[in-house]
Amino acid sequence: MFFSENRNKAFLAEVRKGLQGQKKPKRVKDILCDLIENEKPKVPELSGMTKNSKIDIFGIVDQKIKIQQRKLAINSFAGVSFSTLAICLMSISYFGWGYVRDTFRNNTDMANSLNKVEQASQTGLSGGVSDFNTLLLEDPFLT
Amino acid sequence: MIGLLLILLSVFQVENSFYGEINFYKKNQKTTIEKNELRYFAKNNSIRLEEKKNEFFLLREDGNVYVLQDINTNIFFEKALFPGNKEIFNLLKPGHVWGKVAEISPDDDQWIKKEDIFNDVEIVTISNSNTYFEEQGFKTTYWLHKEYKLPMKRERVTLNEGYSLTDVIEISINEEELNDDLFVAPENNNNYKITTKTTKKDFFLPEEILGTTRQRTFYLNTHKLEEEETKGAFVSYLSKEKDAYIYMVYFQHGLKSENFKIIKKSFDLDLDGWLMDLPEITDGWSLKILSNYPKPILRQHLKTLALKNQLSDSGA
Repeated sequence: MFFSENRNKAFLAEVRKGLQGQKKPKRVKDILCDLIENEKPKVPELSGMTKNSKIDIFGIVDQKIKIQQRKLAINSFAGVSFSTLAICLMSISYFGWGYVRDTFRNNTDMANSLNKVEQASQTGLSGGVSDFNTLLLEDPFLT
Repeated sequence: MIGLLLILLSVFQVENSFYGEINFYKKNQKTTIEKNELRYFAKNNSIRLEEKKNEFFLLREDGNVYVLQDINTNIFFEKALFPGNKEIFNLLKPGHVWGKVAEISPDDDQWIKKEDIFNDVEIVTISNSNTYFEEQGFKTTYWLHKEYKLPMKRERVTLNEGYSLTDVIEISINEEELNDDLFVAPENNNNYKITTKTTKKDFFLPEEILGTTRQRTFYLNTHKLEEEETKGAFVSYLSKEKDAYIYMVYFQHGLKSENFKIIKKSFDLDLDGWLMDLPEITDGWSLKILSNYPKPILRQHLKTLALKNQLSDSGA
């Protein structure tokens, strides 16, 4: 809908009122489309109506066009900004998180990682079996 | 005649097959920690350990195989890379611990031996004496199933800063004739070998730039009777001073992701840290790096290294 519902009703009512006793304008939809595309087209069929009308149809259409253009600009800007922000955040999280985490990492975590690496290097085993192996070492009946 | 009968009986016992679960955990004063479990199957000096479904170890006298069914791969480990093999094998081998316990003299004051019946099962218990525990600071106790000649439970208590910490291993034993297929590596899988020996391939090893010495290098070779070929290499650098590790995993193209998965699973590389790919470091090979070392610094080191190599045209 080109106008808001209430404005649209008011506009149509005004059109009907203005057209009373006058020649019915042809192709109202087409004319409205022209109004949007060409800011102030000359529409002979509406000239009489607009002169007598309290409503400045061309003014309303102009205003509407400006609002729409402004909305479009804001939406485009918001869309581009959001995408840019999302890409930036993803990049930072992917490339920077390792650095941030490693820089502020707690020493116990580092020591645990190192122990795990050493254990894996020594046993060649994974997960639970690796833990199990360490339990069996130094058993007098097994070694 | 009676001796022969006893030997035959003993052979019959050893060849029996068993399966069950091994639960292992640690206990301090009040809490149980590091609880874990494995399934096992034992038959004719072969043992199968299952951690997860379709992923298992086969421990055998002639070598060990790690079977990864999700990528249809059998990995044959060199014995030197599997030092815990002997202990697991001895624990689950019918008669092994039983034999060691039988050798202990009743006059030995380090050990106390007794027999009990629990739930209609005859059990032999052997434990270090309290005097031994006080002197040495640790104590081992075994509960052995008299009929199956297998351990049902083992406890090791150690004194740690005045408090006791106990390692517990509980083994459920079910006697059943098991199928031989359980103890054979699948024939349709790809065979690889994790070894310390390379086959005609040099890799660039940046010890100096990384500021730490290389700890170990393992190679992933195809495991064939006629010819072995290196498909991947794994170099580990550990720096205790910097609390940092750097794993460099080299891949031959084409087998890239498969190689990485094999090495990652074999060496338990589910580690905290980050991962980076360096494509095409040399003809047909790529490099993957796993580390907890600050990434920008390591990247800078590697860039310097690459530039140096380009200038010297060493081809690394």
